[in-house]
Amino acid sequence: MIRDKIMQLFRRKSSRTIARERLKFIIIQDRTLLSPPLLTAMKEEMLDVINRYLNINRKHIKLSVERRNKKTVLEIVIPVEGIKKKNV
Amino acid sequence: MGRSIVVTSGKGGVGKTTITANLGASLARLKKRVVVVDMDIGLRNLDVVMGLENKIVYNIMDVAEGRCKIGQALIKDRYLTNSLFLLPASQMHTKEDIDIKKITEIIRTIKESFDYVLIDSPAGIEHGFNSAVASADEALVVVTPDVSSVRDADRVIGLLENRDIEATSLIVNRYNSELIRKKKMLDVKSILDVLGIDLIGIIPDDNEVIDFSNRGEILALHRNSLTAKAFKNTAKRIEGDDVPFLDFERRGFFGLFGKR
Ligand SMILES: Nc1ncnc2c1ncn2[C@@H]1O[C@H](COP(=O)(O)OP(=O)(O)O)[C@@H](O)[C@H]1O
Ligand SMILES: [Mg+2]
Repeated sequence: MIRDKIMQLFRRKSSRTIARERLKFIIIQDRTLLSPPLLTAMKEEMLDVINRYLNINRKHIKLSVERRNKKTVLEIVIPVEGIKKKNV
Repeated sequence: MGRSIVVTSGKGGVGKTTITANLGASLARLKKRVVVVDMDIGLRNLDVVMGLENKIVYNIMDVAEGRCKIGQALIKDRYLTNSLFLLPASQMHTKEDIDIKKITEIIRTIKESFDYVLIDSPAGIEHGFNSAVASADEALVVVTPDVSSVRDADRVIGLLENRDIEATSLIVNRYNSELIRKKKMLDVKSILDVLGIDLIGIIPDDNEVIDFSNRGEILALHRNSLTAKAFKNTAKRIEGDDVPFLDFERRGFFGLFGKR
């Protein structure tokens, strides 16, 4: 059932879109030299720390690794929904 | 002093040799004096693509090891006899035999009397890659629009950034307008988003490329097709001209499939 749903999802996407998504994920791993589990673990730990100070939306995090001026830049976009009461 | 430009890629078979020959010829057509150097030691084939395999007497290893002068090893192109020359690779040596210092010296000397030195490089990121890149001022990275080629290119771009390369630009080869229109191929924008370097050329996927290389003729010299135009435009951009890119997404290249 779930498998069929996933297949359906893939069928609707063009192979270009799939290629693009796979490429982005592979590149993040290659550039950071982190395996997918480590990458997830790093993200979660960072979010835990930030979450101690700010209310954040964990569902809409964007992670990318870019090259700028010969440096590898890890970019994380975290939507902030407010500050924690205790900080005020 | 001329410019030395290495044509490189992560993955093999993406079109480095084809592009070196066609860009070399296109630059020569722009009245530049050009030497194309085959640095794929042990697996030479730039001579074959240019139809010069029967004219080789000396090669770059002969120059490096003192058996001849540079001028003796340079082979004139059959058409552009005053402006396009090949410095062939050795077929008997392996990449481990290359003395990077000597090669760098040779390329430096050639730069003194030519406008461009285009260096065709082997696949991989080992010694062969290092020797091809060592003497280059600039780099052209070739990719085909598929995940593994772009991934490997990313590795190479990372390696190039740790060197004294002034500029690294991208050539997307074997772009298939039909697959692009059907959204079945990575488009140029997605590739650029990931790699983050400047685009300098888009070359169509064209069976004529194979046909010409079989015959040892350089397509850009003998054709007026869209593919030939793509090579010529890329050469002009290398020269610094601001040439717009052909629009593959919308109109496709009917010129290629139509009457000939
Ligand atoms: N734009 C193109 N369209 C069609 N075939 C191509 C194109 N570019 C290269 N080829 C073919 O792909 C093969 C590999 O090209 P080659 O230049 O030898 O790659 P590399 O030097 O990177 O190994 C050759 O058979 C060549 O004719
Ligand atoms: Mg080659």
